[in-house]
Amino acid sequence: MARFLIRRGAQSLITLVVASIAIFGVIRLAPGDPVRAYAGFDATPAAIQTIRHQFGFDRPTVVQYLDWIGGLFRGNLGISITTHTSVWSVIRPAVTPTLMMMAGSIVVLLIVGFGIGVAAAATSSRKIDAILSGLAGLLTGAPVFWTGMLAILLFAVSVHLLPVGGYVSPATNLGDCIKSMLLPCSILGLALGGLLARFVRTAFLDALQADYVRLARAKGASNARVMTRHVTRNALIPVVTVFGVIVATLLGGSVVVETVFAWPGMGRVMMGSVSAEDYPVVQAVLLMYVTSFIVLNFLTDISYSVIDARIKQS
Amino acid sequence: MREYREVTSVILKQPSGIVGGLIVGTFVLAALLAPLIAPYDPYTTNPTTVLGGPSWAHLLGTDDVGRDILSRVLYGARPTIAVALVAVLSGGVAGSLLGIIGGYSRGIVDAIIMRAADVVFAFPLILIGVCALLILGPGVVTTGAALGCGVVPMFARLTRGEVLREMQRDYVRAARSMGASGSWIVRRHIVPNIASALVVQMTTAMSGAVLLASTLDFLGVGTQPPGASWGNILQEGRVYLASDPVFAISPGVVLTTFVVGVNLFAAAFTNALDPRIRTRMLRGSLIRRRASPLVSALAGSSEATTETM
Repeated sequence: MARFLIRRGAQSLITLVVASIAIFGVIRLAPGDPVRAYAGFDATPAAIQTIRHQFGFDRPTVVQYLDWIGGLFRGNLGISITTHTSVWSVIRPAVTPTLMMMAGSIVVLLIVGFGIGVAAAATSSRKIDAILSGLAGLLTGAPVFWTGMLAILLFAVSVHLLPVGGYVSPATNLGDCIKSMLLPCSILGLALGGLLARFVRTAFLDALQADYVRLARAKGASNARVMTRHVTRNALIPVVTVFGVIVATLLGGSVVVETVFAWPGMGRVMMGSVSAEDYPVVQAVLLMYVTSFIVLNFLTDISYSVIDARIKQS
Repeated sequence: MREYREVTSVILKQPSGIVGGLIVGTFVLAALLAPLIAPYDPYTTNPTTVLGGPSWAHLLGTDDVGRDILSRVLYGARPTIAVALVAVLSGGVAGSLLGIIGGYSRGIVDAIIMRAADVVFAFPLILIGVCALLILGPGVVTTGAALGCGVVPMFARLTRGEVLREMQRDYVRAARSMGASGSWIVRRHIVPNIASALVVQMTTAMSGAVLLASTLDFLGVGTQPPGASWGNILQEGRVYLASDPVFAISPGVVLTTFVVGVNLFAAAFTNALDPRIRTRMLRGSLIRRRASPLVSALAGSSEATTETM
């Protein structure tokens, strides 16, 4: 187990290092000169040269990369071209809203995914199974930016039940915070809940039909024991494997939902920085997304090695 | 040829295959024939018909500069479907090749390819698209290639797994012992045997690629105005959500219908390419699933069966 964790940890670290090089390289390929953007269009060549030297852009690319990585360890993500302040000061206010959206969406995702998936697997009615599977397919097929717009039209514009967009901090007003989270989290959670439901349905169907379930019943195990010890535990293994990927997809989807609901999260910071060609911010946000994904994958590996005794023993 | 007929026959035996095929066929045909069937030019503005709701003259109404929304939706299918096709084909072919190389050669080459796939896989697809378009600029080929890069790891992993499985089979060992070269074994034995899995994956990936292409258009980094795509028509209509909901809603209905159609067709196609399911369906027995496994388990019975599909 320890060897498995060390190996996966080392692989994750290598992936992160290569990803950071890729991000750094890709941003350097982007058109436009960040120094010229920082200095302003009326800056003299001498002033531009001074700023270029000041930020180290006149040094070899490898040295610039090592500087960037060194800065990350010191908590310095660089200077934003648009605000002329530290990149962290631009990103910091957006971290909590994105985390709140992720947390709310995961709750919806789990309720919808397991609700529809287990119900579809458990039902004896072919029609109900088809309806639930169709619903899961519809949720997966509908683009979040469109369902988001529909939700705004229904719940915010027509009946004024929920706010059109924006985020309210729980420290300001907990009730308003929950209201502000309801629509975006539901839209994001529902979209991927449909996907999770399909995996849950298949996993539970497979587990329920497995020989070990029949054997457990033949040995006189109670229904509750069969469900908890055998069916759910075994069905969870393939579900956990995809859960990490689904949550990572949720992270990508949050960029779109944040745009629709004017949610002041990292996705909006990212899109705003792309438009403004504020590459130090784009670079930092990308690295944060990628790091989150790699950590999530690592945690997924750990969790299924805990659930699956075969991996634990090997 | 016989297998092709069998696959077609099995697809047509499934309601999802018929409905999905009809939806996809209709949309692809509409995209191809857009210049002939669109009632108006999608780019011609008309200040006298700004934000006109649905009418007999304009079935889906007109947009904020008086352009016919139905015509724009018909034309909008073209870049959306084209980007998705380029993405799936380029990413599918590149990923499959890498998977075959990695799976067959193993060792350091395999390790490098799989670690590179892990790196690309760590980036949310939408951000790969945004960054690639930032560098390369918008366009069908660039957007398609950008999304294609994102799906390469998925195909590489799938193909590698399939190749590794096939490599363990007796016919590959026999070919090796007869002195067949690696490239010959791959071309003559492995590729034909893993092709159906790859085709299934490509069909399934198509719906995701359509959604991603539309998302990039919605975010304003894909197809640029005045060009029409389902994503950017939705973005334009978003502002008029309250005053002209048809403008904002209709492209979404079209997009969702198409994606659901692709998914339905992909499900039927997957069944048709599975030799076991295909044989069963051709013999006339429907795909069967154990009925109410949970209920059966709780009731202590596991005999009941029911039909699905």
